[in-house]
Amino acid sequence: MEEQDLTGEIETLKKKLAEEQGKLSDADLILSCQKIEPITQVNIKVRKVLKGHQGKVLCMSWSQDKRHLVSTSHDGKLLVWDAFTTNKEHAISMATTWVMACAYSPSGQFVACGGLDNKCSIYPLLEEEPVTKKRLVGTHTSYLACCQFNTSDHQVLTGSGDSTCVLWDVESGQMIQSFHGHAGDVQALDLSPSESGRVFVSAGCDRAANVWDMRSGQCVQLFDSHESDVNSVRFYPSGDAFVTGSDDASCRLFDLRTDREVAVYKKESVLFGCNAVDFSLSGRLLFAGYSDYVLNVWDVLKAKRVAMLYGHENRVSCLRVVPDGTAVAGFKDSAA
Amino acid sequence: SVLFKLIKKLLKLIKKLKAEAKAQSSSKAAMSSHREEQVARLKHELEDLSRQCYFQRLKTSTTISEIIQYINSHVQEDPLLNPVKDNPFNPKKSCELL
Repeated sequence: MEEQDLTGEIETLKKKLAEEQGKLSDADLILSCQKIEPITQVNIKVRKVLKGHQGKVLCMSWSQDKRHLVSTSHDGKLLVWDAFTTNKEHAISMATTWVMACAYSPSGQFVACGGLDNKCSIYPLLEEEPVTKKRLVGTHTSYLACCQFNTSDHQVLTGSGDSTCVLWDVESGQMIQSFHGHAGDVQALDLSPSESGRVFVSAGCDRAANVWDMRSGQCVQLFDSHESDVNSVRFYPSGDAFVTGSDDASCRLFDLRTDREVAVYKKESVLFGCNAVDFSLSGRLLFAGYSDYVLNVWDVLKAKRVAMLYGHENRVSCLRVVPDGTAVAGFKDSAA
Repeated sequence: SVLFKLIKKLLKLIKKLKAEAKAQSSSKAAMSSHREEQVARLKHELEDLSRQCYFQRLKTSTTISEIIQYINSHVQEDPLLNPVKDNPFNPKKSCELL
């Protein structure tokens, strides 16, 4: 009868947690921003188109140099681009198709990636033939959904369809810490910009976003107000909040310090799932890419849509604002 | 406080269950491995929830005013809201040589 005891206690605690969160909920973000000037115009144009992938683009990552980016595709290719000139600087063929995760290392010398092979591998870009110097960083028991370098070239954080996240040491290929708690496939993760190396958030098919303490491996906060799979998660620039994009056609802003959801970005006319989210430099604009070919731009403080960007022939599967905030790249097939 | 007592009670329960599980496995009656996994998962969830209840929260009014402040102090430098003159992504004007 242990299971029944435990299940009962869990239900009791969940109610208690909701009560505790409610006690400090003494303000509303949107109401508090009523006197703030709304954004009337967003002047964002398609400046460059990066064509080269033969299949759907599944993932992308900007280099810290604010100019290069890496993208991976369903066709099994990893491409490194110079976004200023639109030239392709590297083309690496993966051993697997469906490369769902990729990341540029902080130094710009490596890219990490993986997908249906369940593995996260790293390629040195400075070598003549990067594909020959490929190194295995870690293996999961299901597909690799996302990965990011943890503050340096030496550690990579991965999220997998096996519902765990793992922090790996690149040199040794050893697991430094594993993170268990999601009840479904992990789809996305993001490292805190303010608690570098100490905190990250992950989100997945269990409709939840989990905030983790990287040293202890414990889930310190859990937010499960979405009504469907959460596909994307991104920290707010100050690190005090994060936004999620979900199949329930909404994006939500979660405030870490008050431990609650504080805003929902949705509209009756927006029916399709959101696959990718990112903030502009100040955090005032939220870029969200959806399955109906559109990139919606939301005013974070008013929860109102301020622009719709087209220019894609298919669903927007990933997007990222460049580190210095000067541009946003959205991928599906070929266009950025 | 009430919350603190509840958490203490739960931690005691977890300890008791761990001890019982140990005793059971050394005796002949063994739980199927599926049930064991399920119980382990539930215990993990319970420990997580206890910790999450303990979280030191701040008032929403405080935290959102700081989010708003952050945005206001950074909006001027946000290139997608206040475009800069030398946008590296802007196509350069071509010049013809005659």
